[in-house]
Amino acid sequence: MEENSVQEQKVLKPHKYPLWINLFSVVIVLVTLYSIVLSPHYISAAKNLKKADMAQNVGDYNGSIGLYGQVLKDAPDSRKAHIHAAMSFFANGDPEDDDAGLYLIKDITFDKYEWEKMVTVMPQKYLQYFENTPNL
Amino acid sequence: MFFIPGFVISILTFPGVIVHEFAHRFFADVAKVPVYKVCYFRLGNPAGYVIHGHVNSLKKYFLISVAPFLVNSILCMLITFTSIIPIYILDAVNVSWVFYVLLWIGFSIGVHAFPSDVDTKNFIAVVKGEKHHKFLVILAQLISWFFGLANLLRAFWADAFYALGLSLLLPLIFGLF
Repeated sequence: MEENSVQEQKVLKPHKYPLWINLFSVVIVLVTLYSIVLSPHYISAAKNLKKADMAQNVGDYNGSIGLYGQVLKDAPDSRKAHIHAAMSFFANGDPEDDDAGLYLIKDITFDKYEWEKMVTVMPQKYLQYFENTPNL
Repeated sequence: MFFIPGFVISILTFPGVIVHEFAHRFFADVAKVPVYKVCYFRLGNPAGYVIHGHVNSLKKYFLISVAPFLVNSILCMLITFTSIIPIYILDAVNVSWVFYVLLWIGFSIGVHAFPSDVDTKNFIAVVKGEKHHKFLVILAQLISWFFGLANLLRAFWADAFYALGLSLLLPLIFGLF
């Protein structure tokens, strides 16, 4: 923004903007509304993820499984929910849930830190299904 | 700290330049200050500008100078919010390109929230010349120092860090981290 005291310049009509600026403004408004409209859905997923992580951290594995399930309902491709739900299935002490845990992490790529945590709870028999695991 | 030419940053973040200049123009119109020329975006320095007539009150100058800062900041927060969640919090695998576009638009707008050097200098000059409205003068003085500091720190990517901070603000407020 610059001031100019040269009064002979033509004053622009107030609130009259070029067509492309009007179109650009409409796009920005639509983009903002789109983000606002989508936000409750993602806020709910992120809140459930946080609650699930807290439940898992205190050893409430079955409680966390339910909450991770809620996250996956809202955001089916959440990698974090897949990995942590699988860890809860493995850690809850019920061997019948192990296959459900394995199913959740099929096609998932782990980073070193995630893999280190996963092998602490994953049944040994499943390790054979994973390739190119980092050197621990 | 590496250096990227200003015109490259302007091209990459052009939505922010346009929103910033549009906000100046819009609030100059609201304040009934005559506007002579507007450049919403160009390849040059500055990347955009608004040439307007004399502003006869601090309140009006406050509106014209500070409102774009607020408009850009609020839009950055709202537009990036929904993208931050699937990309960084949920760590979603198949994130739609739409979310990356939202993130780019929102971040670009946030990067251009700070008033330019010229805006800040003009604002400081008006604040120094103001004799009335003691409270407004103190507030304006504080804001002008903040803008001055922000402009100094631009060399250290303060505008980009500010946009990043804005993008994380709503998730933090909602307790999502």
